[in-house]
Amino acid sequence: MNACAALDPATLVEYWLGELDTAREADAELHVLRCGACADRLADVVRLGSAIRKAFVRGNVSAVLTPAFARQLAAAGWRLREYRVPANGSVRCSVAPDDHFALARLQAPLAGVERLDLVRIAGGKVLERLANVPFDRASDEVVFAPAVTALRTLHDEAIHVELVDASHDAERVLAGYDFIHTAWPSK
Amino acid sequence: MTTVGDLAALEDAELAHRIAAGRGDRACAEEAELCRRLAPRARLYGLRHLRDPHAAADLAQQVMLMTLERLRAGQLRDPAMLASFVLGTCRMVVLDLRRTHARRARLLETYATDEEQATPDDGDRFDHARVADCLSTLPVRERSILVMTFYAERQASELAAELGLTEANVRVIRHRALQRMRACVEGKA
Repeated sequence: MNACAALDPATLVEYWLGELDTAREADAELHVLRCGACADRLADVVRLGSAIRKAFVRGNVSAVLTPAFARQLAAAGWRLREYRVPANGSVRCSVAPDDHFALARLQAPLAGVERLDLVRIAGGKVLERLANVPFDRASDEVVFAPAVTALRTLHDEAIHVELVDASHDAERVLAGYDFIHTAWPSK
Repeated sequence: MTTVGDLAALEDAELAHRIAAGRGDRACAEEAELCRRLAPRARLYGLRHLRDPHAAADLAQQVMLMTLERLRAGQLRDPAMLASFVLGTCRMVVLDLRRTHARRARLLETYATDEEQATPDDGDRFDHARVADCLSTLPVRERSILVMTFYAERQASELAAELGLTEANVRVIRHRALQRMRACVEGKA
């Protein structure tokens, strides 16, 4: 068994994602071919990444995506059910059995916003507050992808979503959105 | 007689030396041990560069055949250079396999699937329900960056441009998120 000084975890991830420059990539590759322990660690990075991907594409986790990422999903052939909702607008929505993803495309004025929270409310109660969601303030849009498996368990229900500018001590609601959800009829 | 345990304790270079010095069946056990070690590493190289589990398996097989042939023929003069030779062979085989597997890759891009994913082997080390639970406990910013990263091995520079962040910032968020994920799926958090 070869002894080796372990590559740090961040380098292994950067190698896997193709982020290293040519010289560092060559060093990392030679190291992994020499060092079974680092090869095992790299394999674990890959397995975990694959498991994260599976959890997402099976609709088991929610996420806030970029518009470019949403386009990539559509281009890859996934079935997307998208609802583009203007600020303070409402929409009737559902999720079909063969939908892979449901996207709420929330339009909002994001210029000057440093930190944004997304709050989901039903029946006057806060279901969830997603703090510090990722967003591109130049796009004036937040793309929220709830877990489709959870959406499928909903009955007919109204859910209110708010985008909250939490950049400063005094929060302010940027916009609200009403989703009038109807359960997909069972056969 | 050399046991499997004895071989496992040897360095790669010593195994290569024994194979080069062997004749007939004498080095069979050494060859098997070397393949056991190097084939998964070559396959990882293939996954990284080809992003296709079938192509990566082909690469590992071809690289190991070429490596053993070279060793048996005594053409690898310095066994200490074994890893360099394997790396060079991996690079050469990748070029060839890229052409062979390009059509298959195009088909896969057209028909998205959640199963056809490049992983080191067929064994699932992680409990998928546990992974989903752990992801759900992450702050949404970390979870979203992990999802967008590993959906299609996207680099920090791409996400940084889409989110108006710096690459360094994306890497820090990603690194922290992966640390939390590992701790969670391994039951340490």
